[in-house]
Amino acid sequence: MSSPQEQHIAAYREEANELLAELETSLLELEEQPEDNDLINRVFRAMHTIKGSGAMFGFDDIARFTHEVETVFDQARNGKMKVTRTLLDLTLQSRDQISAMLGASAGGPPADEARGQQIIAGLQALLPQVTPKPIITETIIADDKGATEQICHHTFRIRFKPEPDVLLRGTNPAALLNELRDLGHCDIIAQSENIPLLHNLTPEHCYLYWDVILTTIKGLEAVKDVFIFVEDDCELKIELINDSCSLIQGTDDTYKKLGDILVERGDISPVEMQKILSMQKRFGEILVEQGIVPAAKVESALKEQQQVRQVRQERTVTSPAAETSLSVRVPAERLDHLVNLVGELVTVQAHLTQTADEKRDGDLISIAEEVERLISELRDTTLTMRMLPIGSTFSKFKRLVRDLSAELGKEIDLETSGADTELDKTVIEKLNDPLVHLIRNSIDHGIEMPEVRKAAGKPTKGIVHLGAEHSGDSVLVTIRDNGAGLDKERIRAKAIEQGLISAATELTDKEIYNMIFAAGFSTAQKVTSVSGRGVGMDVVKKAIEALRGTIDITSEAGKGSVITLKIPLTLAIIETLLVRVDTHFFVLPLSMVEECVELSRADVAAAHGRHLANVRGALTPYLSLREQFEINDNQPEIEQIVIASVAGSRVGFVVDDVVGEHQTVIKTLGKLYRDVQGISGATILGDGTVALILDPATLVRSAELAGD
Amino acid sequence: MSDLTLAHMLNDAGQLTITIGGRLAIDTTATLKDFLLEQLPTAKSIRLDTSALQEIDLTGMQLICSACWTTQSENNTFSFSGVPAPCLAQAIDNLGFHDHKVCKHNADISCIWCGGIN
Amino acid sequence: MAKLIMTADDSASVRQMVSFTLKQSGYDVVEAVDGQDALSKLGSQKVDMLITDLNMPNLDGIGLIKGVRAGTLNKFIPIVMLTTESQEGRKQEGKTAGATGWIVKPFKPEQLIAVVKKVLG
Repeated sequence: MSSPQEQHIAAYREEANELLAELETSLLELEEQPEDNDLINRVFRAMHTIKGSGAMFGFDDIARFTHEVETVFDQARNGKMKVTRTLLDLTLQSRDQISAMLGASAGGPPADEARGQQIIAGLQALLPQVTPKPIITETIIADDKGATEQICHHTFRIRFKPEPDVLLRGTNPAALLNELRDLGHCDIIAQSENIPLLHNLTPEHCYLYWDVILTTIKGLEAVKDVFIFVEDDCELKIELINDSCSLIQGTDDTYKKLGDILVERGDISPVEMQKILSMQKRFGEILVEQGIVPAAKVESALKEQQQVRQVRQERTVTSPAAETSLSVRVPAERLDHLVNLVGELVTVQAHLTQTADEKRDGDLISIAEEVERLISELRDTTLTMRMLPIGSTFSKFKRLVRDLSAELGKEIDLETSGADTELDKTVIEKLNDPLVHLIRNSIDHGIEMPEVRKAAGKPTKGIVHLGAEHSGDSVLVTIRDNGAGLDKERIRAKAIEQGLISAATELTDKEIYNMIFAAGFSTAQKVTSVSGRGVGMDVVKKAIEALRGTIDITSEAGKGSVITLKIPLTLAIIETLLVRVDTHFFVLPLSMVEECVELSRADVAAAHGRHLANVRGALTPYLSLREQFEINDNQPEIEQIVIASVAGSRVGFVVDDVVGEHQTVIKTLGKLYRDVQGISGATILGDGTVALILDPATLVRSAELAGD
Repeated sequence: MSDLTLAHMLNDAGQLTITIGGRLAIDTTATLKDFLLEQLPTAKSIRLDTSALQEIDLTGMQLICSACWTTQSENNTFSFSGVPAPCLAQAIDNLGFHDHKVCKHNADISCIWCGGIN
Repeated sequence: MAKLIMTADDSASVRQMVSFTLKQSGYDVVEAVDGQDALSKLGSQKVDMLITDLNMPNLDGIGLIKGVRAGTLNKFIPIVMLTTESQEGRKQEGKTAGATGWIVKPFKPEQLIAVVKKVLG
């Protein structure tokens, strides 16, 4: 386990990253609404926290840098400066610089200091009148300044007279008096003459004040520090009346008698003092004298009081109060581990259920069912723990769109919706790159130049809309632009030119659109730095398929295009259909399966060797897993076709038998099998048998290739 | 943390005994003040029983002091009854009342805390 | 009984550090993520002290202090605000609103405990 300090630092890093993301979002929004004070405050607050916490956890460089940025931005916050494009540009660069510094502290490459100074210089140029203030790491609790080589006994006379309303600010004068007592020998005298008659008394006001004689080895600063919080709320007089190290007032360490001091200060008259001295009797004695209470009773009461006091002091009850906390931060690896364990548990549970069924033991079956119910709940809970809102990714794209559109001279707004849609953390991470590609594509190919748009009667500003929504066990992520739309003819021509299709091939619109996902396909008229490098869409498609998702595209000329990604909620456990070929088991993602039909030898014969089945009049292509995996034994008379929807068309997979639905815990295959086509992983069945998880999309693709 | 408890008893001789218990502090002092304002005119002598007091702060001390002076100024008497609570003795020490021998409002009488309980 | 202290800060790392330090010294801690959260918790739970940041979303430290002082249950508790050197004006504003004291960021755990002891007595 790492030390608390390391944990704090880790927490800070994580938090700073979140704040930087927030900072970026706010800055980009601010660009659109430069007058929005809430946004300016949000920017300021994010920087302020990065700075303040940074200094606390030893990130002095970050604190110093952020301080400079904050100082400049503070002017905007106070309305002394307008939020300009330049300010935002520099602040965004600052954000990147802080991010680099943060990365450097976590073992990343060192941040470019010169760059940092450049940014600061740029910022300060915005307000030449501002002289940078150095960060003061002043501490309020002064060190022992009295600890000089020679120990001196200072005697102070202190008058502490709080303002009446000091208690309303939570100040506890008694605590301050105790603090004085901690400094050394202390005589404290309360002065109560200001306490008014009852009907004039405000119970929450402080009417008392105190005279204190304190002898301490600490210096004046230490005494002043006691009153640091109240110095503005009280009349405070601290006088040094004796110092054993200097010969200011006599050479002995004893100070004057209290009575003499009071007389000296005019608090009591000499006559009064004589009276007091003559009344040096205890309360109890007075009571006895005046015959109010018999002496024995007073004696007993005092004893009892003593005892009670003792007993009460010994009785120190400690019961920690209930603690409430909103959330707990857990390292991602721990969650991953938990998910793995739950996965194992699901496998074991399947085994248990199977065994219970085989034994036909009623008791065992009911236990197995109970376990199944609990585990399925545990599974759902565990998986939701890894869910994060997709919005964090969205905000990054705002920056991307801003930078890219500026680079290309286009005017583009990014709109988002469904930012709070939750997805598995790993999925979100893996979605990042594909989304970057797709958005780049929309910006580069989709949205036209402002003048072109104007000529077409469209607003010059194009819109890229990024949205997310739940749909069953999947999330639909859409990237929609109101650009030119896909040019069917050009795609077709290009595909023919690149030999992807023959000139005679008849294609539906959908099939044409899908061409853009083919490897090496690009229609961009010129290669820009943004896209059109010939890689991209096929990579996107592969990445989405690796997430067991699908990608779909629709387009309307002149109106724009919509790309829809359908992504499963989680990667760890999926619902599948378990099938068998001879003694081998395979699973297909249930979300893709549409129906199952029989395939008899006669049907095969009727198709004249072609892999086409007649399903209610529609010819459906199929591929046989037997052939695919070269399993030759025990082919049954009647086989089954599992019809799945692959890339928008129906494709059949021929198996011996459909076993049923299966909850599949995905195990990745070893490195050795990483490049095996058609298999995306494996799973372990209840009885320990391994079943391979089929990847229908690649299976179909490799079959198509083999067929050509 | 207990609240303030209040009880009172007026005997035939016009002696009012007020018993306070629990917590006499900034958030409860006002309650006792109102109670005292209401009760003081009914009696010639007031006895305050603090034996059940668990906690008293600066404002509680001020209130008792004020009540004492108010009673005295109307020529009535104010005194403690029963065993003083330990917390009272502690407050006298902590707040620096232990050297109060005469009433700060009237040098002719002794202070309610005076030489008092400690 | 251990004293219960609330820490109100939108920075999770500062909350964690404050909370850890206080617990080490035997205090009980309740956390609040911003002024609004703090105020609503303080409406129903008695605490012995409040340590609050000044810059927070929803309701800032000044607003929180005013809110606590205008309430009933925790009206009189000591309130310590966390400030930075650039917030001299805010410190004054905080005092006017009813803060008992302040701690200047950055601070060390010992300094925090010293201030807590100072105001709690």
